[in-house]
Amino acid sequence: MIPVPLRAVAAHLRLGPMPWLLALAVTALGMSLLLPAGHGLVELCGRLSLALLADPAARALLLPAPGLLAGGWVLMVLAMMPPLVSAPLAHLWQTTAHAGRWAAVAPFALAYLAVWSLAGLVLLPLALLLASGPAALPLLLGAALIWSASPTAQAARNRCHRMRWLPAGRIRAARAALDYGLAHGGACLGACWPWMLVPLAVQGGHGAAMVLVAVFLLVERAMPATPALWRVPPGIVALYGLAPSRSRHLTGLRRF
Amino acid sequence: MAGTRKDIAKLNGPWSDEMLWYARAVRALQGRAPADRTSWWYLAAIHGIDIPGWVQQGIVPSAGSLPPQGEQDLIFNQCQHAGWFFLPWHRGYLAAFEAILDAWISTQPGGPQDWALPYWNYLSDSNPNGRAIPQEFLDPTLPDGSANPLSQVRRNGMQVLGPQPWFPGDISLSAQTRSLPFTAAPGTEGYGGAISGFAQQGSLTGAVEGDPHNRVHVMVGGVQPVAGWMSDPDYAALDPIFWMHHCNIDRFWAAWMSDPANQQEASGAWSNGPFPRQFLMPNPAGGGDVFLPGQTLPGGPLAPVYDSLHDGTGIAQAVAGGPVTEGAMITSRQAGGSALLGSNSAPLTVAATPAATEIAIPARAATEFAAPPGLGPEPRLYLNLEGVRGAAAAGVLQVHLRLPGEGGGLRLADTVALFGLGKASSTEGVHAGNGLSLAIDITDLAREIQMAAPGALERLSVELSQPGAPETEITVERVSLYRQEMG
Ligand SMILES: [Cu+2]
Repeated sequence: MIPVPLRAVAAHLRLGPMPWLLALAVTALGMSLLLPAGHGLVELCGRLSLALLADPAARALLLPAPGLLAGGWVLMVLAMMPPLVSAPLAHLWQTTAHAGRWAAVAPFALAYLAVWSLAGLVLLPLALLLASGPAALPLLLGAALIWSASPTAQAARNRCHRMRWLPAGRIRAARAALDYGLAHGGACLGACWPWMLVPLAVQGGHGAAMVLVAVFLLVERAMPATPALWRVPPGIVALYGLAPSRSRHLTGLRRF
Repeated sequence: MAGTRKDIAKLNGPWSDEMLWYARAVRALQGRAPADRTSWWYLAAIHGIDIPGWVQQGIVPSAGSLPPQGEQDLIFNQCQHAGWFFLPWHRGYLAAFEAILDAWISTQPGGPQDWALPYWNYLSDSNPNGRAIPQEFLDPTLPDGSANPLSQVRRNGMQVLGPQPWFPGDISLSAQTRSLPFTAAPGTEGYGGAISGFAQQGSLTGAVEGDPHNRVHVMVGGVQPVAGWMSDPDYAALDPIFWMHHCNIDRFWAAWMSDPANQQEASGAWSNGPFPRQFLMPNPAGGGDVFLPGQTLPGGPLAPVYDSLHDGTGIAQAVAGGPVTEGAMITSRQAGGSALLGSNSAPLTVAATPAATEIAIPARAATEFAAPPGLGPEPRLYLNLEGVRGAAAAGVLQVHLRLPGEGGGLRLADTVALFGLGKASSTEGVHAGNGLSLAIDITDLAREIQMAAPGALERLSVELSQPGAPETEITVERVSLYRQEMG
């Protein structure tokens, strides 16, 4: 007998565009792991340090072509983020006339992807600075958890739940969809950015780290809006709901 | 174990034993601390709570008297509206409430062992006074002269449900008697609402939720000068009449499911409920239990028993005196889809003066709708108000369509009760601020307009107004037309 929460999760993963978005994520994950060996973002993870970067010879050896690095980042975004936009995509699809559906979904998706791609210009160098040494992973994980617990992140997650209805007229609708994608991308970035540094600090098992972080972010995304206060990261509370009910009394997170 | 739920009007009232015990139990629960999981305040906060407002109105002494934040996050602000969990969530909520009252009543000297929630049968066939708020909720005192906890509430609405200048509409059984799927396709009506996750305010109000549920809330609570408790989901369950109202709504659903012509939703996404946040209710022992929508269906542990599913529900007994029918087919098959035909191009603001807008739809869509091929059921047309927002706790909107031609008059499409308007519009609390969204069936009116002047439907004029012309603003992000594709 499958536990109820898992059955509920499975049922919701079959709704709307979610199966397609999961397929996209899996494809991007596969591609990011298959990037030319020795040159991809994957190889860099957990191996960098400022000292190495200061040495030109080591730098040339370690840093792959910027194009590959950027490609690796976009693939990482595509491997982790698509399931997070299932709700707004379903909403746009359902509230747009048949003929205008792709004209609504495409600007939204491109704007959303653009926000995350540009964020790479800051996040990748940040990762190169921080994601090295044995302490990097626990430190970055801790920082990400603290961020998730913060009122700022909760306010951003609340903005992720915001929906828009596109006006009549092709150009007006496309512009509104673009705006919607930018706003949604901004909210998503605000909620999730420190988590993207975590897989970059993992040496070996980068793919697995991406999957784990993506699942955590999807679960946080699925939690309903709530007042922006300091709180136990909603992803922790939610995953806790999957634990057998007997063990939940142990930590006091679930007081019931 | 709770007994059979009965019509208040058919009890030996006013102040039947059942209602006296209800009043005593309410008083007992009100004597419990707000952080006590079986207190009146805790139970009402499970529906919704505005903490600063509750403290300011003296409902609870302070924010510190409430349970810790982690517990609040799990159990407060749970009410499900404008989605397909509206009916099952409220059924589980009523069951938990009834069990807690029953546990107290059955242990009192002389207390009945089979007490059950009575219901307010406002559309009763047998009682011409059904629309009047039952006397027990108005009397200042109980028969023994002590204060009556059932009337110590903030209500500034009607004492008899029905049209008023500020609400020129009525309650009806239209949700019961039309042939509707349980789950609404986008932009259309379903008996129970559209697909949603855990949503205090989902994407689309269901038929029975809109009328009579929302209307009774707003009619009893009132909207001016300030909304009464029943008009605001963050206060509604503090009014003891809330539970008798919802008991009747729940009975409507039970009746609807007893009709073999209807199909009850039972897909995995519905019956297993939402996740990560789940439906959690306290039990009389002070613990908590997660419940699932599937458990509220007939035969399940949370299915209630009513004295009648026919009086005032619009659902006739299949065969008078005949065998009990099997009831609605439980199904996971999805109903037919829908399509947006067109929308207006800018948001609207309605205050003291009405606001008008126009929806353009392709000529082909208009003619196809006006003259369907004639095979199978006729397609239906729905006017949607999407993203309806306002600062007031509740509101009322009238929706008119303009008839074509010189000086074409206005025809009323619907009067809608915006229960929970303020809560749904706020971005501060448990909402994303998406406002309310609703679909109005305008099939017949639209056909009339297209007949009156061919092509008139291609540019449909819609006018929105607030009855009584209050200054409070209501904005509507989009007004649109959806066509239901018959599956
Ligand atoms: Cu209600």
